[in-house]
Amino acid sequence: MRRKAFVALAAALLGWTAFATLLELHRTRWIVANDPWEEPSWWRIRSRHVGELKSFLDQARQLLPADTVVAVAADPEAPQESFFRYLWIAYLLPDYELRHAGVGDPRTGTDYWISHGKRLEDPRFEMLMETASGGVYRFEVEDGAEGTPGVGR
Amino acid sequence: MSNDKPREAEERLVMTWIAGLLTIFGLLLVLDLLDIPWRPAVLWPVLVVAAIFGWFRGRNAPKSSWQPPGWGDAIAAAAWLVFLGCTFLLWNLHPDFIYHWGIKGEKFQLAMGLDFEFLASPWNAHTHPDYPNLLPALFALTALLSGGSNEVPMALWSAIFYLATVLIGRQVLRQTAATDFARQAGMTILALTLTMFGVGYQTAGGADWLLVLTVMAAAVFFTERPAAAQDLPVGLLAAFSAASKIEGIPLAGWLITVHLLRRGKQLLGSEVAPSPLGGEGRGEGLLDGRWRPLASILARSVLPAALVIGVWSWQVVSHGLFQPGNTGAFDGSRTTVVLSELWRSLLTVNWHGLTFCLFALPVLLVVRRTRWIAAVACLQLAFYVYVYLSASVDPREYVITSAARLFFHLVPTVLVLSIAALDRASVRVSSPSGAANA
Repeated sequence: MRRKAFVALAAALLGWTAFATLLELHRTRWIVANDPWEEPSWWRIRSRHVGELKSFLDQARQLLPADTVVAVAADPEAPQESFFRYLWIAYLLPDYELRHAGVGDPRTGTDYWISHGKRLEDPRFEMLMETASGGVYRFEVEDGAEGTPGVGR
Repeated sequence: MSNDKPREAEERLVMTWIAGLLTIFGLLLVLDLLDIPWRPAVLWPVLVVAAIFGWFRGRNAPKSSWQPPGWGDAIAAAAWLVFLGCTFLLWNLHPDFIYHWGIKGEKFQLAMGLDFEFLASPWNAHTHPDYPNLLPALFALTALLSGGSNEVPMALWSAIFYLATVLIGRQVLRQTAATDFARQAGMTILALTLTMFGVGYQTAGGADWLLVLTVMAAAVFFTERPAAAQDLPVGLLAAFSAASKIEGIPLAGWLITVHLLRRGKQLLGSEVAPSPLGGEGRGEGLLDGRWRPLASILARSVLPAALVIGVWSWQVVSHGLFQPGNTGAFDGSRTTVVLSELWRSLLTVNWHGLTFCLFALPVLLVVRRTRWIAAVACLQLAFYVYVYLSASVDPREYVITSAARLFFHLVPTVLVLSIAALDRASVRVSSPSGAANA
C-alpha cells in the first residue's frame, strides 16, 4: 500500500468514526430526552417508567415484612415483557427475595404478592395497597384449604 | 533472545492496577471463605494491602519511559471525557447491569460477601449464577465503602476500564505502528470507537470492558519478542480475564497457550543450561537443564489463572450453579442460521460497519508482528461460534442478543493492529530503505 493511500484511508476512517460517534451521542441524547418506549425490555434507568416503578416500590416496601419472600405476578398475556418488568423490580428491591410466578403459584412459598402494570382480580388475594401502576396483595387461604405456605402466616 | 527491557509507563501502570484488582478480589474471596463479612472496617485494610502490593511491584520494576502526548492523545482524552460524562449521567447503563451484574453487586453488598443462597436459587437462574464474580465483588466493595448502593460509582468502573484500554492501546500503537501519524490516528480511532459503541450500545456497568482491556493488553506482550518478563503479566491477564466473565475463561486458556508456545519455542531454541542432575544437556533429554526455567514459566503464567479458575470451579460445583443452557451437543444444522445472524450482527447499527475489521484477522495472522495476538482473537471468535452451534438455547435469539457485544471484545484491538500493519506496509512500499527503521 502506498503512503498516500494509507493516509487517505486513515483520514477517512477517522472521519467516519468521528461522524458515527456524534451520531450515537445524538441518538442517545434523543432517547434519554424523549423516553419513547413503553415496554420494560427497553426501559433505561432514567426513564419515567422506572421512576414510577421506584415510587410504587417505595410505597410497597412499607407493607412488606422485612426479609420476606415476595412473589411478582407474571402476566401470561405478555410473558416476555412481564419477565423484564420482574427483572427491574428485582433490581429495585434487592433487600427482598423475589419470585416471578403465575398468580397463586404455590411454589413461591409466600403469601405476599406484587403486581405491576396489571391489577390482580383473583378473589383469593386481599389487596393491601393499590396505585394506578400496581398493587400489593396477600394471598388468602380458605378455611381448611392448603394455601401457599407463607412467611406472613 | 532476551527482551527484558524497561517497561513503558502505560504498561506498568495498567498491569500494576490489574494486579491490584486481582489482589483485592483474592482477599475478598479469602474473607468469604473464612466467613468474615465484608465490613468497611475489614475492607479498608484489604485496599491498603492491595496498594502496598502495587507499590512494591512498581518499586521493583525497572525505570519506565513515557512519550509526550500528541494530537491523537488529546482527542482520545476528549472522547474519554464524553464517555465519562455519559456514564455519570447513566445514559449508557448496560441492561445487563440491571438484569445480573448490578443485582449481584447489590446482593453481595447486603450479604457482605458472595451470596450463594441467592445465586443457587433456581428462581435466580437468569442472573447467570455461574459467572465469575470479580465485577459484582467490585460493585459490592464500591457500595460498601461509599455508604450504599448507587448505580453511578458502579458504572464508573467502566470509565476506568476504558481509560486503561486507551492507555495500553497507546503502547500497542507505539510498538506496532511505524509513524507518529499512524499512532495518533490510531489513538483517535480507538477512543472514538470505544465512545461510539460504549455509549450507543449501552455498555457501562457491564463486564465486557474487562475483556476489551484484556485483549488490548495482551497485544502489548504478543507483538514483541517473547521474554521472561512477560510470564507474570500474561499470567495476571489470564487470571483477570478468567475472573471477569465466563467467556474470559477460554480467553485465559488461549492467552496461556499462546504464551507457552512462544516461550517454549524460545526455550527449546536457546542454549542449554547445565542440568541440575549433572548432565550436559543436549542429547540427554529434551528438557534437561531447562526444567527450572520451565517450572518458573509455568508458575508465573499459569498459576494466577489456575487459582482463579480453581476457586470459581469449586464454587460453581459445590453450590450447583452451572447452567445447562451454557453447553450442549454440537449441532452443525444450526450453521446457516448462526452465520446469517452473525452477518446481521456485523451490521448492527451501533457498530457503523467497524466490525468488518474482523475480516482483517487472516491478514494479521500472516504478519509476523501481529500473528500471535491475531491467533488469540481468532481462537476466541471460533469459541463464540462453537458456543452458538452447541448451546442448548435458541441459536437465533442467542446470536441476536449477544454477538454485537462479543465483537466488542476484539474489534478495538483488531482495529489498532490493522492500522499499524497498514502503516508499516505503506512505509515499506513507499520507502524500501526506510523499512528497516520502521
